[in-house]
Amino acid sequence: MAAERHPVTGIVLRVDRAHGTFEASCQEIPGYMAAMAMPFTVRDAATIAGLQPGADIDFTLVVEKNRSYAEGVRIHRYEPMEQEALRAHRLQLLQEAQDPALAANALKPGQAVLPFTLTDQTGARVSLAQFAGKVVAITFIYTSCPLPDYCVRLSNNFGRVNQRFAAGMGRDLILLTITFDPAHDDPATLAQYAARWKADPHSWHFLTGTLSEVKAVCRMFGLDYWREGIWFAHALHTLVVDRQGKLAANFEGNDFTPEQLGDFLAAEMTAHN
Amino acid sequence: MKVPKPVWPLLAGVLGSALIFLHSMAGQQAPSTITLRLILVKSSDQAHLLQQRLQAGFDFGVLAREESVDPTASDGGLMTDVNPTELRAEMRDALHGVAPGGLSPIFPLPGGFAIAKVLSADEVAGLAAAARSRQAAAQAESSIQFDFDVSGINEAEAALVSQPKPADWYLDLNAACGYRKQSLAALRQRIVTLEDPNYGGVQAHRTPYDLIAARIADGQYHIYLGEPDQAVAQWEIARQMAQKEMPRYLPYMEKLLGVGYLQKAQTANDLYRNPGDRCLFPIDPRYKFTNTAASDQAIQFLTRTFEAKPDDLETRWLLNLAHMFAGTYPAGVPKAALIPPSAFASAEDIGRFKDVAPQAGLNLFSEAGGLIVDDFENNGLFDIVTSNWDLCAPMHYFHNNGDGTFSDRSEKSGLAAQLGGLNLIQADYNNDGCTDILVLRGGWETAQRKSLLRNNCDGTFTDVTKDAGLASPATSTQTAVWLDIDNDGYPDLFVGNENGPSQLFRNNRNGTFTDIAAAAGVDRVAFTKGAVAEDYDHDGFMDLYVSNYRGDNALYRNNHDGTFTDVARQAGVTGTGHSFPVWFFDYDNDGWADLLVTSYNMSTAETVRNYLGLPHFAGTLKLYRNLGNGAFRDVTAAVGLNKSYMPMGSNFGDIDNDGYPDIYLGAGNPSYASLVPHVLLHNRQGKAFVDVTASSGTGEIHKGHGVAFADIDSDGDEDILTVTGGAAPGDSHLFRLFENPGHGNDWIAVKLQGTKANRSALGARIKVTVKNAGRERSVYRTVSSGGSFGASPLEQHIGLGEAAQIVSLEIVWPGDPDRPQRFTGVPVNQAIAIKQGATEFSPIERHAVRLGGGKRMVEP
Repeated sequence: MAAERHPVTGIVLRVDRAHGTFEASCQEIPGYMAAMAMPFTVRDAATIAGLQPGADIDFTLVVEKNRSYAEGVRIHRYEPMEQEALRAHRLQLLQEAQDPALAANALKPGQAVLPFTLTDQTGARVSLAQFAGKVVAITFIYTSCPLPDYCVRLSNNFGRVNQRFAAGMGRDLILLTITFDPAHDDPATLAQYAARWKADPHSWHFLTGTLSEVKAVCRMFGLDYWREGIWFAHALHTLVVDRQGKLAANFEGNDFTPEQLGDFLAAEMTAHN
Repeated sequence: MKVPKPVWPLLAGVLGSALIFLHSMAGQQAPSTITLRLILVKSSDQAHLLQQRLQAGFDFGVLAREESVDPTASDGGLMTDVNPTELRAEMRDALHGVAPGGLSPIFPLPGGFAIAKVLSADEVAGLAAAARSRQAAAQAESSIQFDFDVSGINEAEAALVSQPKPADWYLDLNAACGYRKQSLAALRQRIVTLEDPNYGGVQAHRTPYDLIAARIADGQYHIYLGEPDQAVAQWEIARQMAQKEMPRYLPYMEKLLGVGYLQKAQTANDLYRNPGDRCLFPIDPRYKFTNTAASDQAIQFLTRTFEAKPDDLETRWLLNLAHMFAGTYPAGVPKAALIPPSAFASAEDIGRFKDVAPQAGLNLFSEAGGLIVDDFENNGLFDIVTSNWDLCAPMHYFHNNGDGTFSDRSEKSGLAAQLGGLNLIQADYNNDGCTDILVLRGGWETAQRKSLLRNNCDGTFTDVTKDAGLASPATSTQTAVWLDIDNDGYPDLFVGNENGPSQLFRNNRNGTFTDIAAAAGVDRVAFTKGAVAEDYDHDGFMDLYVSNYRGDNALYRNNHDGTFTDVARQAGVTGTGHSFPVWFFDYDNDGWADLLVTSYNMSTAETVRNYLGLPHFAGTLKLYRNLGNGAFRDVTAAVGLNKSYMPMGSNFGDIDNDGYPDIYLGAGNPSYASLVPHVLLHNRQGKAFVDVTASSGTGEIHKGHGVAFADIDSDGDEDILTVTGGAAPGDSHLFRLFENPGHGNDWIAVKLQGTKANRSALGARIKVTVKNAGRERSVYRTVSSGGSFGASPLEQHIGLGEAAQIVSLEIVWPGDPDRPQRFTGVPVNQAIAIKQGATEFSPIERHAVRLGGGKRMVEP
């Protein structure tokens, strides 16, 4: 009987090079399996040589009679087609052409996240350091953002994560939503915005600060944004900081699902210390 | 209709104040429930004040939200489906006999004094509708189709922002121009760098995505500068790259090319520099392009884009427009895409205006900018002053030669040294009898300084900004208004800023100003796009209305002590959430100035919805009728203004001298894809506004900025002048002067001079009572330059209707509301000058001229 071959896309959760396996949170494979997180075996270790958790990949799942394996694993670069994201990317390239250090300076997965302190929706000063030992997910928005696939989508992702991990919120998991429009998004404005997602200010902080404080945090994570009147052209980043305070993943764009993000966070929360 | 009910939580909230527990009364029928609003305040005085305001028509819910100390305050005092038998006796008694819609008397409750309102069936139904529409609004905003971005201004702005500059770079206008030029050169260099596949060294991997992005940026750069040939060449390269390596990029590239070729077609046919009637919408087939190579390509790309996304209204619109240019509309438009000619037809014909700018010597080719039409030389003739927001572009001064032509005296006047500026306003700030100019800069862009230009009374101007104390701090502003806040006879200045606190400069009466915005309570941080002044409540003090592009607008009521209170919510005039130009005008001539608030949405699709009769996702225009008691009523839909445009420069005037002010909206946004007509709306006797764009020939499709109404040829009707041009050098356009064809109605023009009041007479209210065929009525005007973007003369042109006889002419001066200056025996069809306190008026000598020179054939 000929082997079945299925195209799969997913986000890498763990890589075990010694055993030639990796785990990924996959989108639905029509007619074969629902969206889920599952482990895959590879036949050739080289297939996963460059693979890191958080990577957005596609591969072919080969199903034979007695075994199945992944082959042709490709890592995706984020390439959005919406004009706002295209423009943000274009402006980012132009900025980097002026100052190549900008691109090089963004934190890479595995590196320690530098400490920062911002102000949350209750007016309290909040430092990353106070969440040491917990998994922290971070994303960036501005509250006037009118595009449903941008800030609203990212906030919605966190809203779903907030529900899914309700029991662990604050204990194992902290969400930080940072505005890059601090001139407008003061704590009161953020509190209104936070109310839409019924965010508990003890575990889901909406953060603002001075222009320079916010800019420094955005720089660290490679988040590019340009003011255009009351609007912004901006990139989309969702970051995960592990229990050791290192950057675990930098998800760019809006193609991943909240379930995939949740699977990744679950993997981080259960990871051996 | 059943209201969704949080009844019990609400009632629980008022247990302390309104409810008592009554055990069910056996044998009694189940009583019907009522829906109420309740306000509870602490003192009886407060309650009486509230009662007055409620009787004056203030919104009960708004007052409850702001004043009530009851837990229901956060819901506007709402108590739904209340069983009256369960109310406290005091309240039940107070409500006894109150009809639905009525107010209770003041009654005591534990904790203070209360007033309740029983909601009528309509109001109860409205609650449910409001709940639905709030939800709909939340979803609607996210359904707006924002404009396709073809302009290069984002690239240019980002380049200027990242250009290294000293902190005080904005103080020197020439230096600012230098930074603009350097930033564009640097942008060019960066684009060339990014196009190099080996940039970053041979190790660096340049993806097709990045290489295509570089080509798109290159095209944006060229289209910004007005070089569409080079732009489409770059985008063709990008399309080929996409075809080979990233086919999913193709739909975007095809639309980009569709818009790019449409731009190329317009340039190839010299539409911007030599427009004539060729870009007046709907475009007459007689004016079809002679060179159709580029328009044919535009049609091909736009057709493909439309076929791929038939619900993309912007593409559909552009496809119809491209066929108009090519002379193949309507027959050549694919059936599914056609917007039929009937969609654009005017329901009224008030005569066709004629653009005579070039003949009159107004050969101004400009980007977006400001406009003032006024007599700067005190010779009885209206001169024209313009600005161009391009940091390197000089202002212009067109001297009125008195023979229907103008001479460019930009150099001689000193205005040529003034670079940039998105808006201009005028006033005689120092009361020396000569009208001065304020230049507003930095709007939409990066903070820059203003310029105060003192008129030397000889046709020249001196920049006194620094000495006046207005140079620093630099702000991003495009709007300001002169108003005498304390009736000391000197105009003060309110400046609305973007992303920063507003400023209120008190005139120190010695040529200097002091910012008192914080003490006056008007220093709110907002993205302000419009500011206008009017004594809307007739208390003798000027009030302010401030339009914001994000959040609520402000109606600052003058407290007579140098401070203001924002009463926009109580008065019901918070606006559209994305407000832009605004103005006060008495659209229905009831003696109370009403408010027109525009909504600016970066969406051609929303404009197309007007023509297709589709509902809007974005905010519409708003007309708030002044009820004369401190409150306003939203009458937008009743007068047919519930349409969505993209108004930038716009203003009002009376195009047919019927006494009712009409509206002209300049339209568009920075994208070259936003090719939508300016709109002329005729005021049908204060009852409806009728779109007469097509029949009047005023539907310029390129970007509209400063708009003024003025009788520039002294023939007794107001002409329309507009600085036409967009946000990029490549979207520059020729100035428009639409000459009014005339209507035979009577008129009077009144130039006021304050003696106790400020000399420009800003804020003075004119009431002309006329008889038309025996019927008596009054027409009202307030001295101002009109709307917040474009300045008409301070001399007020007032239409009087057919065969008019002036019964009386009255002026109410600021600070002196109870002693109007009154004249009788005033003849019609002339301009007169009136000095405050004088018993006589004097005629202003003027002769009708033919615009463009030569003798006028028919004298009116």
